[in-house]
Amino acid sequence: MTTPRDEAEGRTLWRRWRSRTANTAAPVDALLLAAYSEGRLNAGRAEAVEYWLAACPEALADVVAARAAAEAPPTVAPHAVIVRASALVTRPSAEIVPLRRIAPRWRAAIAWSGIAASLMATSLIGFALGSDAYFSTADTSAADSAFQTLLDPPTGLFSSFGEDNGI
Amino acid sequence: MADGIDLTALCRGEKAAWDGFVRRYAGLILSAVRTAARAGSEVEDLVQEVFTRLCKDDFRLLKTYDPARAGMSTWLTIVARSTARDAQRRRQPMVTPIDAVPEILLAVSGAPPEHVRVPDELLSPRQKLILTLLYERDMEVAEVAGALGIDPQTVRSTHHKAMLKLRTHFAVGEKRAKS
Repeated sequence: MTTPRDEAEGRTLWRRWRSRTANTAAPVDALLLAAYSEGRLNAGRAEAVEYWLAACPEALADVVAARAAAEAPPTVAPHAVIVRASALVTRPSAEIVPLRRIAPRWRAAIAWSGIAASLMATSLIGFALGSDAYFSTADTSAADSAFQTLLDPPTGLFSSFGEDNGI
Repeated sequence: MADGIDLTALCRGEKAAWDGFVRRYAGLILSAVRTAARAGSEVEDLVQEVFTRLCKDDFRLLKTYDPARAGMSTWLTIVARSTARDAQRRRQPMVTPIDAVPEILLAVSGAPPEHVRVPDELLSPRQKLILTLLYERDMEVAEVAGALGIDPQTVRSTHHKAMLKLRTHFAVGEKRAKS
């Protein structure tokens, strides 16, 4: 502005323009404002931020303050401030420890029963197959004799349990 | 990482990372809050508000920070000032004395109703911003240049071009209205 007359004219024109338009700028978030403060935005994005800055004086003051803070000497906070802020987070780690899931007892009982039944069935089938194989391949008289021995063992085997023992 | 701070550990809520973050940035946040605080405000309470906001809701705000887009110090300064203002508004609504309002916003014009339509896109966002700072905030050219990080000559040049556009537009519009 060179002369007071120019300034007065400028204000009048600006007032006329402002009275006829509404600034519908979308708010800008802190990260975008910070990027603008550091001169990181391209022309298009900077324009969008400036549109918002024209409508929001506080945002512009934030940008000015951010630029000034970048060049100012560091401030030391009182110890009490640091202790108070540190206390906001108390847990040493945010790691989540999953609890071991305990299955109901009846489920375990059913499972073990199934295993036992499987073993018994396997054993019986195996014994039956083995017996069939033996009797089909061996001499029948010898097989009969062996079978009789199994059912009615000689007295020497159970001599202590004979009929004359008086038990 | 950002300025030596492990952001991943920080956002996970690890105590050691949080304590390091507080020690590193408490001074910066205190300084930022002081510039935004009203007279009589408890500055240390406002600093605590800022840290609370950063770790609230499982560090939701802190997780929005991206070191590739801006520096942590710059971002924290802006967040701190915004949080301080919000906290002060909640506690005590601000009343603006009438003397603090630029005259241009209060002026009642006796001029006849405006018959000239003004398209919003007539002025660029930067032109609008500079005219706002010059005529509504009553800032000097040097102050505007400093606020926007540009050369004072750029401010004058942008102002001049904006004025040309407005003069031309209103002059043409008035001729049409009369004819």
